[in-house]
Amino acid sequence: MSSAVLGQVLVFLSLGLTAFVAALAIQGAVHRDSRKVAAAGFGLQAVAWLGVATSLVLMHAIVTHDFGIKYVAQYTDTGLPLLYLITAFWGGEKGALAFWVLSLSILGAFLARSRRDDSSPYTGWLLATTALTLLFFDVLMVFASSPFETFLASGGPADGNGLNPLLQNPLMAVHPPPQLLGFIAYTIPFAFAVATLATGRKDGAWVVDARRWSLFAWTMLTAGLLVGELWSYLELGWGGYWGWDPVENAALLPWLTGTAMLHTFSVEYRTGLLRRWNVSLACLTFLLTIFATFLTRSQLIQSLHSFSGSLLTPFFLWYQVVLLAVSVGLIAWRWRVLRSESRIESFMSREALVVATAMLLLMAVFVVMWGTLLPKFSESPAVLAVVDRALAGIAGLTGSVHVPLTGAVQVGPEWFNKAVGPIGIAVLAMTALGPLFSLRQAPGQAARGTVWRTLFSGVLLALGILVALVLVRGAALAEISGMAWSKASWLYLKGLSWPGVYGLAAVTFALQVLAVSCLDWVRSVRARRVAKGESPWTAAGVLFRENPRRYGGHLVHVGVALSFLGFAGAAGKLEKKDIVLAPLEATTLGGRNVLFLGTRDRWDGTRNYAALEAHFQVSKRGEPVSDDVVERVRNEASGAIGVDGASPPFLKVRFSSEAAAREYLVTQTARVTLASSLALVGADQSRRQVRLVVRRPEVLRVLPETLRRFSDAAKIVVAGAGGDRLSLKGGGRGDPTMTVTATEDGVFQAFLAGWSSKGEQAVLAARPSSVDKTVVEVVAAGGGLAMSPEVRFYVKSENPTTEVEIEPGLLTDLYLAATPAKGAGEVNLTAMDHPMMSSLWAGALVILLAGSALLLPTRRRKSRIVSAVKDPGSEVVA
Amino acid sequence: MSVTDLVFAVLAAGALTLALRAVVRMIGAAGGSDCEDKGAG
Ligand code: HEM
Repeated sequence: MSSAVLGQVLVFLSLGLTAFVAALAIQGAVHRDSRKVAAAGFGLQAVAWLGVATSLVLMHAIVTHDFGIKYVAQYTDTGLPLLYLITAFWGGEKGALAFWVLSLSILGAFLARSRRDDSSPYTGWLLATTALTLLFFDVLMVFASSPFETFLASGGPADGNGLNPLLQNPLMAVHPPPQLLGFIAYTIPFAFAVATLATGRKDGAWVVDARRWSLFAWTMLTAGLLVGELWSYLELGWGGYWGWDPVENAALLPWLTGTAMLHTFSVEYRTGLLRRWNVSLACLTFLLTIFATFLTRSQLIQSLHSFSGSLLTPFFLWYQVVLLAVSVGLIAWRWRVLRSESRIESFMSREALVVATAMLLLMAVFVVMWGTLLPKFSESPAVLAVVDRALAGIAGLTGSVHVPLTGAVQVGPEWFNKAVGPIGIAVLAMTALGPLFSLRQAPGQAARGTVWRTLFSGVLLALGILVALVLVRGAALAEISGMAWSKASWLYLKGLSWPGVYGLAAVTFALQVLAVSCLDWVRSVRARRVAKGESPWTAAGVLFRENPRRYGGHLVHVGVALSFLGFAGAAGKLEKKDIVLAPLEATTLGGRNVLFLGTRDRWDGTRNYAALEAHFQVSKRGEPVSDDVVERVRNEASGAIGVDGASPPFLKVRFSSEAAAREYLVTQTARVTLASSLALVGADQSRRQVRLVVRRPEVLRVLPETLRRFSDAAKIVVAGAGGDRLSLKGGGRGDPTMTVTATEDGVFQAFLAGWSSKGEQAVLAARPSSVDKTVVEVVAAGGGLAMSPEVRFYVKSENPTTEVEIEPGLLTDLYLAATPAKGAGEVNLTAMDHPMMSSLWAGALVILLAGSALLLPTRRRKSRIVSAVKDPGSEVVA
Repeated sequence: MSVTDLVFAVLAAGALTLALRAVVRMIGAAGGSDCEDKGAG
């Protein structure tokens, strides 16, 4: 049996079995038949094993290049390394669907196992919801988007299309599994909510069970988002890490509600409050994961009108409608039952702050969704008219002037930053305050003191940072402009626009969060040391084990604060240059000089791409070249009478005669610009003629323009020889050879010498001096930081990829991306200072480590479940 | 049959065996489910 047929059979079997399990679980729940519920549990385990077998069949087809299967032919080829073969499993829509089914069935099996001892109707609904969700994805896989679809007539192509080069990156290889798992795992908290609603169970036990799942989903989703950001930063070359692109926004939505849910769960777990919030957030988060998948997979985000793009779109649309109806219906039905026994009594309690935070996060969901969908929906004139009327109404109320909308509304990253920024900052402020308040009570005298001290210190902190900024920046501005220092400072203060103000607020609150979280740890550790004589590390470990939420939560908050410092860095100061540079032109960035040396090509035979590397040297402005670098250049330049490093980044190499300088220049430029890409053939000493042929003809296949770059480079060498001492023929369109002829023997030998030098060279680039013909200006190796961003052109893909080069630093990253420009040898350079990026990534790491630590098994403290203990008999109300 | 094929075949067969075992357990657990409190929901 072929893989395709076997896979198809397994998918069908799994569909049938899942439907059966769902029916069994529903029957068991409705008829209170514990045997059926238990049977459904085993059924889910069988489904999971079937899912594993199906995935093995697909993986086998991929790694053995079974191109008869469309999916395999579309996303892989024989040249793909094993890592990317494996990741091709989830690289395309159909594979991602298979991954979804596999993961959800495995999570379902774990869920069923964890409920082995409880075959109540509650478990029945839990399993039924999981099985029904799985059924939806099974149906998609069978009827709309099967990864096992084969080519009908032929046996398939001899080789596949290969994986999109943008995805051939280790980060992109690992990005989808956590991202998808994050989405998928939110099914389980949803199932808990449905089971709670269906049975009308009143105790808070469900949040105990659902918390672990929601934390798992949250940690995975966070990891997925962060890896995505890192990939975007390193690979896309546009200079940022978060572009408010619809796909990114879609993934952010469930993260926002998921974050709110972590906290509302914690409140119900301890106090029995916020039940309505919890079931609603569990349903909403799940719905948003489906919405995100829908938005990503459908063509909705490219254009509103191409709904037919993916077969999955109508399925997802209807599924969302059904989910929404079921969720709203169930919640409405149980609205009264869900009422908590008590109410929030003080606005100064932790639960009040958690609710406020949840509202802020929901506001962010609304804003992000609005900004993502509005540009698409407003393409329709009817929607545009409605929005226009609404805006006119608002303008009428506020007395402002309304400018009628004329075309589809455009929403860019700046809009999002402006709109979401303040919400994020408010959440950050809450994060600083939240842990200071107690549950279920207004703060006492002492606690109130802490709160006031925190608020007051915040104001002081903000003022302090502002004063420091004004002093430092004012001084810098005064230095550049020659203005009086006080005037420059005032100008800076006046010019502080919204990104600056947001940045300032973010830094203030982030520092407060750091202080609040760290101080709580430090105080508790010290108390234990005094009481028990433990070492600080032991004490910290014990604290975490005894109260993982509190201390793990602090750690996560520390990570959040560090990340916000990173966001603030981007908002506060971001020097960015987009500039076209010709070889040996430079630009400045901050206090640095970024000198473009030239391009060079490279061929990667295993992955089949040609890379165009752009070489740069980055040095501190005005910093002299060190003596040993000067010495190396002197030693290498035979015949030089002096090397002068007084005008960095160039060194002036002086010769006794013009001819000696000329020959040195010819050798160096030929070596630097030609020798690595072109080979010499048939040097004819008597005619002083030599042919140059392209060393890597493969490069020309993907990058025919390279030929022009070679001949441009050769022209520079020829020009350096001056007069008609060297002449060039060939190298025109489609001609991969050039002939160079010399009129003087010395110049000819100098030209050939460009190919004879071996080993590491002291000179990276050379040019004639414009004033003195006995002088050659060179850039020395070791005279600064070498950076070489590149662009890769793949044989099998139209889209080149940019590989940026980043020099990470504690306070700021230097970021370079370069793509070929129109002019001879030129590149478009994007260069920037990215302040505080290290803080962003450090924060990300802390969040992920703390999230994972919180997932480690701990002893449960059942006594905390307040209402379960209060009225254990009230399990089922219906 | 290459080594790769063999490894995948063994793994898939293992998974299918476990699936079958779970199905047998499912049938066993559901067996005679004329439950006494049927209809109480
Ligand atoms: C982006 C913002 C935030 C993130 C990512 C975040 C994340 C987390 C995480 C993962 C936990 C551990 C939860 C658990 O183990 O179940 C936690 C705990 C906690 N968070 Fe947050 N949080 C954020 C904002 C806030 C805010 C605004 C407040 C204030 C109301 C807050 C108050 C707390 C408290 C008090 C705990 C300890 C929970 C307990 O002891 O039960 N957090 N946070």
